Amino acid sequence: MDLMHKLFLSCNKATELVEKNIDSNLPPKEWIQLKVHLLMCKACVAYEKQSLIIGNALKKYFHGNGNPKEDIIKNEELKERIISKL
Amino acid sequence: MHTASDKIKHETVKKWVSDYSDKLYTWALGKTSSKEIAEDLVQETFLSAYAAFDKFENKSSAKTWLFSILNNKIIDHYRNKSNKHSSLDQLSENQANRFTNTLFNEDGNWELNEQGNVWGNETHLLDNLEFNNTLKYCMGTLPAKWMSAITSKYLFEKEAKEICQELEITTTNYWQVMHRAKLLLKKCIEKHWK
Repeated sequence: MDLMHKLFLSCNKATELVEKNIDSNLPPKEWIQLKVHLLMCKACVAYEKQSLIIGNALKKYFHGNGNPKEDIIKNEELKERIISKL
Repeated sequence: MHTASDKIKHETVKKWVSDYSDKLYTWALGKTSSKEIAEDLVQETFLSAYAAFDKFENKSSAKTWLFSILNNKIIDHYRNKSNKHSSLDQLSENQANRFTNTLFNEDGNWELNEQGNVWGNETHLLDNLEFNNTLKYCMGTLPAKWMSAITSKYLFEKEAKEICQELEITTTNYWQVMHRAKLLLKKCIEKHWK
């Protein structure tokens, strides 16, 4: 297993590529290196799952069940309050 | 520096409120899911704009300027929220780098005691209150620059390129920051939750 790691990516590098792969297209060489590493390394496979969980948890944290649609919500009371404070 | 007369200042900002308050409020509501918080943030935005009016000088559009003030207040809101229990726990970038380095051995592979960590089923975790509270706490430990990258990506949903311009870092450095931020969060969660 150690020899394999020496021939290919380290886990440190592989997990960095996992992040890069999440929202950009890896160049072919990196993509293959990452896939090969993940075939051999359970810890990095686990990391990839955890990274996605963390990412989804962060999205949920920031947006809750937020309404993604663009309709502008009117709040006249807020405007009046603000103007009175200027 | 030319100081606008108070009357002009008042009239201008009043018009900004009329033109942009609803848009700012809708945005803030989407980012915080709380009417009270969103209203507070929008109010603070206009008050800050009023106070800093002389610095505005029409360099960008008023709308852009107001949104950037609001977005900074939203970031501060989240930073203060996650720091409620732990304002002392925010790490410097050096400390955070040293910590994430300890996860790997000298060959760059996972240390043996790091290899066994398997989390449960994702859907359960996302709804798990303790998990989310732990995540909140752990976000407070992120160094400022890493927190910026995380909020830009997950809160403002910006693309990597834009975040790089904002933080003035290369794309390579950006991936490294995101990588290390996730490692830090992962380790912190594992330490405090299970």
